[in-house]
Amino acid sequence: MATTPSTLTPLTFTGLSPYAKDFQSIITRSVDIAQLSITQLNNEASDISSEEQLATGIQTAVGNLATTLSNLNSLGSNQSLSGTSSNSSLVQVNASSLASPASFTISNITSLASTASYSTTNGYANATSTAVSSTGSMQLVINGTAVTPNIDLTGSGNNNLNGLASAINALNAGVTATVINTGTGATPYFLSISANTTGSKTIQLVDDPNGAQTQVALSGTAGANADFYLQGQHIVSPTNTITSAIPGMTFTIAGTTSGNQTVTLSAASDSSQISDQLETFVNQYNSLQQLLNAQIGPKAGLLLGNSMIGGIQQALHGIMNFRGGGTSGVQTLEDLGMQMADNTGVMSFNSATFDALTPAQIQTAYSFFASPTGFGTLAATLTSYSDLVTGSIAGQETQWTTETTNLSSKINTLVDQANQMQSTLAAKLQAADSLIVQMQTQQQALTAAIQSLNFTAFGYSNTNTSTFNPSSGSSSSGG
Amino acid sequence: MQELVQSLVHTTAFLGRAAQDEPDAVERALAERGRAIEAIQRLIAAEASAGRAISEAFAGELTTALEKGRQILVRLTLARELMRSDRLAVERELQVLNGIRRLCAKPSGSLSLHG
Repeated sequence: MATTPSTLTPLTFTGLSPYAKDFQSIITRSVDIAQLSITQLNNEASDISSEEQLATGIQTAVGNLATTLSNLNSLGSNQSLSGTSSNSSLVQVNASSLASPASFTISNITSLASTASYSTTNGYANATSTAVSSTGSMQLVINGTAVTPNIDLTGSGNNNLNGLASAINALNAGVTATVINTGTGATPYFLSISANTTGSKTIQLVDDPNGAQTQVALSGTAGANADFYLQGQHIVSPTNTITSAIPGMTFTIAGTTSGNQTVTLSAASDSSQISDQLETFVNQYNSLQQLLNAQIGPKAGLLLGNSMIGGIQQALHGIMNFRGGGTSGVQTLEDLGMQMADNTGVMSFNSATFDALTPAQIQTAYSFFASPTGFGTLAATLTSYSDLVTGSIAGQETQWTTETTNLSSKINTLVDQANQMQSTLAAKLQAADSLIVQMQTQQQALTAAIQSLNFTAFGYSNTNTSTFNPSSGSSSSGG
Repeated sequence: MQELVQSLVHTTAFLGRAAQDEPDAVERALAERGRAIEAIQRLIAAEASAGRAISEAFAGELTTALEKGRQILVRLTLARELMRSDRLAVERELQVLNGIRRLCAKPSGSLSLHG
C-alpha cells in the first residue's frame, strides 16, 4: 500500500493587481503539475518497498516450512534414528545418520588423545640478546625426523630466543613455539614448543646439526593417541573425535575405561523427533497461511494477484492433501493428529493422537514421510519459491531491484533539474529585488519632484497621485 | 525641459515593456530614468528660485510618469512573488525527492535476497 506522499502546498498569493487571481492560479497549477510526477514516484517507491518487505516475510516463512518438510522426510528415511551412548562421560555420540537401528560396543579405552608440549629445560637471561645456538644453525626434529630446512639464526639479531621461536613457527611444521617469561631468577626466559594437534608426537631441538649436533635439553610430554577397542577391533587415533570408524556415526572418546568396563553406542528410533517436527510444522504452516491470506480477497495487500501467492497456496494444499502409498496405518497428516479448523483454516496438532500410535503405526509414519513423491518433493516445491538465489521470490526481488534502480535514476534527474531551477530562481529573485529597490527609489524621487512642483506652481503639495508600497501590498496617497 | 520629460516618459514606457530576461537593457533604462528625474528635480528647483511658473502640461506628464511607474512597480512585485513561490515549491520538491531517494536506498540491515 502506498504511503501518503509529502505534498507541495501552493502559496496563497496576495496582490493588488486585478491579475493577482490569475497569478495565484498559475502558481497553483504549476505546483500541482510538479506534484503529479513526484507523487507518482513516491507511490512507486513506497509500493516497491512494501512489496519487498511482504515478499521477504513470505520467503522466510516458505523457507522455514520447506526445511521442516525436508527434516520430516529425512526422519522418515532414517526412521528418526538417533544415536545414544550408554556412558556419555566416557564416549559421546556427536552425530548419527545410520539408516537402520544398530549398536556398537567400545571397550579398553586406555588412552585419550593429547597434545605434545615441551619447553627448554634451561632458561635464558634475555629473549632478545642471549645466544641460543653456538653456530647460528639449529634443527627441529619431530617424531625422529628432521624438519627441513635447518633453522638459520645467523642473521643479525636472530640468534636469540625470540629469533628461534619465529624461525620455528616459520617452518609450519605443525608446532607452535612461544617465548615464556617466568619473571624469576637470572634466566627467566624459556622456549615452549607445542604441537598444533593431538596425537603421539616427540619434539627435539638440535644445535649445530651439521657439526657437534648438541641436543637442546627439553622437558615436557609427548602427545598421545586415543587407544580403544570397537567391536573387539583395536583402534588407535590421533584425535578423540572418531569420524570414520562407524560409517554414519561420529563419536568422541572422553574418558578411559577401567577393568572390563564397556560403553554401548546405539542408533534407535525416537518418535519424539517426529512429533517435535510436526509441532514446528503446524506453527510454520499457520504463520505462512496468515501471510498469504493477507494478500488475498477484498482487503488484500500489494501482492494481490501475484502468481507466487497462488503457487505457494497450491503447494500448501498439496501438503495437506498428500496421501501415503500404503493401505493401512498412517496415510495422511490427519492420522498423525493434524487437524484443520473448518472456519478459520488454522491448523493444530493433537499430540494425544500421535502419542496413541502403536510402534507398527509409527513405522508406517516413517514410510509416509519417506515417500519419494511426498514430503521431499513438496519441500523442493517450496524451496523453488524460497531459495535465496534461484527461487522465484528472489527472481521477483531482482525485478523490484531493477525498478528501484530505474526509479532512483528518475529521481536523480529530477533532483538535478530542481537544483538547477533553484539556482536560477535564486539569481532571478536577487535581480528582481534589486530592480524593485531601484524603482522604488526613483518613484520616491519623482513623487518629491511633483510635490515640489505643485508647491512652487500652485502653492500646495498634493500630487493627487498614489505611491505603491510593495512590502505592505497597498497603495497610499502621496504627499 | 521637454527633452527631460520625453526621456522620463520614454524610459518609463520601456521599463513597462521590458521583460526581466533583459537585465542589461532594464538596468540601462533605470539609470537613464534616474538621471532624468534628478535633472527634473534640479530644473524645478531652478525655476522656483527664479520665481517662474511651470506649465500644467509638464506637471501632468510628470504625474502620468509617476502613475506608470507605480503600475510597473506593482507588476515587478507580482513577478517577484511568483518567483519566490516557485523557489519555495522547488525546495519542497527537493525535500520530497530526497525523501523518496532514502526510501529507495535499502537499509544496511535488510535481508538480502541474493545470498
